[in-house]
Amino acid sequence: MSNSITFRGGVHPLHGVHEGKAATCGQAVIDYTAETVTIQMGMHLGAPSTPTVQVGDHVKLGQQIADPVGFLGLPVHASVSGEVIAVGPVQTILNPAAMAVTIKNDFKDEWVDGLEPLGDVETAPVEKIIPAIKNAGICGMGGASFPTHVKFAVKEGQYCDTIVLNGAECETHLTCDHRLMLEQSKRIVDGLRAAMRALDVKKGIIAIEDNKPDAIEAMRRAAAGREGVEVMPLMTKYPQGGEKQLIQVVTGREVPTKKLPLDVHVIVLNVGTAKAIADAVIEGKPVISRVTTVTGHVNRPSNLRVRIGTMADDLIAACGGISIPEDQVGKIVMGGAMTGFPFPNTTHIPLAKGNNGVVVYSEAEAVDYEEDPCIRCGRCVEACPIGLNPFKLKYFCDAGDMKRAGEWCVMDCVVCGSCSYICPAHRRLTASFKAMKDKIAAEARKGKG
Amino acid sequence: MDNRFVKGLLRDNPLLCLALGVCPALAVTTYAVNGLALGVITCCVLVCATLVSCLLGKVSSEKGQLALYMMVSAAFAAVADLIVKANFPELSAALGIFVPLTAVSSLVLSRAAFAVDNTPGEAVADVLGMGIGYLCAMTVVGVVRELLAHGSVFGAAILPGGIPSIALPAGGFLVLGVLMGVFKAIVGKKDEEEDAQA
Amino acid sequence: MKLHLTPAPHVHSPQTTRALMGNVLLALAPCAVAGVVIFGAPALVLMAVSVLSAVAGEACWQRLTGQKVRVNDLSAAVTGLILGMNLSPRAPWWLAVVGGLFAVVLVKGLFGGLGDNFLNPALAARAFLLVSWPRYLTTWAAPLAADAVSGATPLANPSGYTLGQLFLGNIPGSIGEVCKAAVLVGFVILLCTKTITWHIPVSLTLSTLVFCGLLGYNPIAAVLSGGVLFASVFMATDYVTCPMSTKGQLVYGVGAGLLIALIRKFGLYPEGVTFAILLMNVATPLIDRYTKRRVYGYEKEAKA
Repeated sequence: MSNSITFRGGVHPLHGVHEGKAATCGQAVIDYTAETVTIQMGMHLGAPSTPTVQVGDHVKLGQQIADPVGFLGLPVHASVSGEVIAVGPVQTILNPAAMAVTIKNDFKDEWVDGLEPLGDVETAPVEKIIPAIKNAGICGMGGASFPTHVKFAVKEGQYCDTIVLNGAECETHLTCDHRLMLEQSKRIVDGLRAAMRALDVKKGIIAIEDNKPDAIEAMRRAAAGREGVEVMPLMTKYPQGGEKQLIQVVTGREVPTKKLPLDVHVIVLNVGTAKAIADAVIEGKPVISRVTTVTGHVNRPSNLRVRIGTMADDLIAACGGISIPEDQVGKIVMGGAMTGFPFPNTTHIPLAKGNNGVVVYSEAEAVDYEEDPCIRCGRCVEACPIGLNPFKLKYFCDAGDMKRAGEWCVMDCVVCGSCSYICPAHRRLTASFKAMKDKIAAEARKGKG
Repeated sequence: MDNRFVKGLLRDNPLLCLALGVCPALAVTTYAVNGLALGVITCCVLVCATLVSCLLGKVSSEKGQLALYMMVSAAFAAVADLIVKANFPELSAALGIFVPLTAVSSLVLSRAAFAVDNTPGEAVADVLGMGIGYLCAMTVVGVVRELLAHGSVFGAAILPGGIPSIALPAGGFLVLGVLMGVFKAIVGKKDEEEDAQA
Repeated sequence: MKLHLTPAPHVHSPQTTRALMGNVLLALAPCAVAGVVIFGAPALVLMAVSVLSAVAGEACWQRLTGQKVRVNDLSAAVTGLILGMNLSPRAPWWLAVVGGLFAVVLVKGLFGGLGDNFLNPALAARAFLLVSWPRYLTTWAAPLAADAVSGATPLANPSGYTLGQLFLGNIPGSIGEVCKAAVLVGFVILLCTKTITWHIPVSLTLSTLVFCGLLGYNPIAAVLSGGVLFASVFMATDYVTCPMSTKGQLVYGVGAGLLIALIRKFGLYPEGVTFAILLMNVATPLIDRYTKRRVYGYEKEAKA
């Protein structure tokens, strides 16, 4: 079943403990709707949208509550029906003061009028698909949150011949995509087909890591008879789900440095995004919910289907609360263990479109290691899927040497965390690379603007 | 420490900071007396050559002055060799060709370049400082090496034995390197304090 | 709630520096035991003194220079033990002390400590001791005997020993290197614990075999004589001084084997391993430079 081709490097985090997925991969997704939702204006990569509602307004489910701003802008929609109780800055996982609209749920789930369903994906008018995607506010649901309609904007001279659906879910602890593939396989394939028709692409490949044989089977069944769609199992290794590695293993092509997948005629979509596309095309519905894995030290680790903007503390409460005493909680992370963001000293943080997991770690698991001297063991070099020299790069980044760091290709780092994971001396490699990348990007922006 | 003389002694000590004249140092400092002797000889050749060259005044081009300096120092080196051979035959045998080689010592060459670019007064202060600095450094290295390799200091036995490999060039490098580090640490600290005040 | 606000990744591989060094000590244990069995108490004393002086030396140096004392990462202990195993069982105890201090202070500490030494500390110390006091390191004991015999080791007297004796170690030689069976056990332990990969030991051994054979020695006997196997498993594989890429490691092993053969045939010393590996240690940065991997997304070498 497993493909023997793989990318170089990579690691197997939490290998012996089934990557932390065992607690949640076997149970069905549970629907959970909270009393209030706080919908951020800037959930996507791009300028935050401008709210078009005020405190006191009554909104319906799916009603547009913010207008897109700029080239990468996306509309934002209400994920519940009810009354707007706040429009203002809130603390989010990355931003201490991000603009958001808070709605009190009236639990009536009244859909807004004026939805424009296009019907079955195989017969929907092709030229209306991408506008429908934009109007539904779809962005990447795998974490990067890139506006999907911009991803589909094929420029003059470019073309796309393959769409790859990322069902790898290589991160630890997360099983939301796994469950989605088991329970919504037809919708996912529908979304893929819609994208293929919109861009006139003949080949659609659904790539799934081989630690999910039931998902592979389910998607194979759903893909049977669908034109141009096939399922490809992949060897399980982190970060197989990284875009660059995925494209390399699935299509054999390498994305050249500083270029995008579209430059090698490939578009990669998360399976959750594909499902959102299907919802938007078939029923005309915007993105209002997603599946999120809540696991770790909670009483009932589960996958929850929640409305966009649900607060993380509501999520944890829905899973029976934290299962260890409060003073033993070490860390709570939004996302998987390799790339997730730590919560500040509160879980009153809203969920965005790209947030796929909440994991609670105990104090023992959250040990802060001190950095030891590099022993030149070379494990980081072996582990890097991009072929960088992390140990060397760290010296340049720590010294603030932007020029040398650039020469040693720090901008090509995909911040996967493999090097930091494997380093016996606990050197904070990934964090210093991320900081240097941000610094170089900021300098570049200053130079341009 | 802006004084050129003091600089040559400490901050810009030719052997321990600038790594000038390392080859003779490694070769002869197996015994302290040899180190001291070659240090004295080098210092004398250096000072005499500088004095005479400065007295001869500025000759045509810069390259011309350099060539003149070299010729004068070669002459003094030859004189020194003859003096040592005549009066201290065992020393001459121990020092070997390193006495005449003083003519082309990197120390002399670099001081020649300095003398050409600066006033005679500065040049003399510089070579006095450098020469005495070199002399002291050679003696110190010689003492340490002799003590470690043979267990004696200036011929007087102090320790029962020693580490024979220190007398080899490899050992010489080791000792020199460590001494350079120690010296830099001491002088460097003083420098830092002064720079901080300035 | 007081949460740790630290950056990703939030999990870590269980292999730490200390764990890796611990694995090396574990892998050295069979050789240590064999050494004591074959040469008796003097071997134990030498190894113990060596380890103690290395650990104490490193602790003192780190204290003196105001650094955090990190002897519990066990790297000094490994250096000390390997140095001890490289000594002749007849060597005086103070030789082990001098060697241990030389290794951790001069070769490791002065250059920046763990990760910054440019030569294998134990091996460099052995070279220093060999050059300084050659007679102590070339006086051998017949196995299981109490008296000194400046007898011929298999290197000096190749036909005096059978292959079986060479393999089991019932021969004169350094404490840790005589029992090749114990070295192989250690190699397996290191491989199973994923502490080292096979590339250097195998390439070094095969290269020695081939080149010694080409130069007129009995290839199997050449590999089983002297410290080739012990060095290929424990000394050439020192992380800091061997190349990082597998391609580089193969080049390193082949080069070391060639040098061993050349030094044995044409050089002054009967044992070529020490200097061969030291020379390859010095060549490692060059090897690393020319065996850099291609970066994803670039057609060829991307960087300077």
